[in-house]
Amino acid sequence: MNRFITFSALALLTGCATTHTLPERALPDGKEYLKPIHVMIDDPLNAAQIRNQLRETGVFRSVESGRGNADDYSVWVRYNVQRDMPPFPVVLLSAATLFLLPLSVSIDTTTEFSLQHNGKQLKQYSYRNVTHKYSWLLDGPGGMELQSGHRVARAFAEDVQRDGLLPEEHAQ
Amino acid sequence: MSHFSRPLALFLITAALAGCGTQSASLVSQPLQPGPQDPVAYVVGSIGPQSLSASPAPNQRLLFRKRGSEFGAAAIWVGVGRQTPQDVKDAAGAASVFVLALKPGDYEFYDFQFFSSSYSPPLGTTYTSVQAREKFNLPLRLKAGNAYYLGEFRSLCLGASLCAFRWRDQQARDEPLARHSVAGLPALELLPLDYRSADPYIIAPLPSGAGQNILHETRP
Repeated sequence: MNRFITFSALALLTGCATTHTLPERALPDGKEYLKPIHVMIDDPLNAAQIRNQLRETGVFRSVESGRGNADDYSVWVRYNVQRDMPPFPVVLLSAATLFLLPLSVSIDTTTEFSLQHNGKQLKQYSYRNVTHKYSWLLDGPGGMELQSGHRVARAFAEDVQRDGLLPEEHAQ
Repeated sequence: MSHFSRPLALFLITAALAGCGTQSASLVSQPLQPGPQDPVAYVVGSIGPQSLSASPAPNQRLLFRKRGSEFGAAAIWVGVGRQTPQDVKDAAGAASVFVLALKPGDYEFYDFQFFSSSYSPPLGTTYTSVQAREKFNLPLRLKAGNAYYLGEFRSLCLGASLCAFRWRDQQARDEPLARHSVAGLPALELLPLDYRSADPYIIAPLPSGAGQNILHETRP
């Protein structure tokens, strides 16, 4: 009986874990900040959140909104998200069981970053992440998009740091 | 009274007192707390409302994070229930002195929070949290064995959602209070941050020479 309970608990816990196709990146410690970037995003609803996720990486000295001056480094971001929910009858069935029946939820995001300086594109970076989880009564789908954005921001920050296209901001 | 047993009465008194007790003005997440033998860096300051009557938020916080990490620390002022120590009481307001004991390294002062709740009969209890929509970034490089004075942050509010902190140097007042709460605290060193990037959330006089927190060492 105990084994059955343990197995059921494990199945529930592992089944509800969120999976991502984009691997988590570890940012190298001990580096100087990179120059400030001015970030423009084609999705006004998510713009502040994406800029905050870039700030959280601790890689850029500052992340500003808007275009900036001619000699500033700018990043244009194209953000596209597609949500995949189960068919409506399944959602109704889950609701009828007070969400004890898990629902398969996935979010497919594609984010393109175009790093520019003096009106020229230095490099384009593109990241696709498919996030999936089984959502039920005690574990809703909230936070999936945040987790995905966090991974994408860290991947971009690590790639920019590695490429060396953005100079370091040396302290005065 | 004869219906109350002595253990029950003691339990009720203890519970009531615990509910009315105080909490620390400094909150550090476990991974950033130095061990007993580990090197420590301290960040000291004070936080509280400029005017108690004009401040709708009884819970106010300054938020810090380890650079590039999900772990952080907070300086807290709470004015109701389990209050933080009201170390400073002036004509209209109050403030708590915080001492954040952290592992040395690079940190960022990046956000604040005003938290309040209100009750109205048709709607029930409404909770309000005000934070910066676009976070700022004020880097702090903390060396082992040093204690840094950040300043006094007194909140000013216009209604429930328009709040900001006024920064002032009150080291002479705050240092003895901090030393009283942490024995053996090193001498405080004023950390001159350029608060222009935190405008309009933190209102501070322009720094002389606009000196940013100097980052001239390499991290361990």
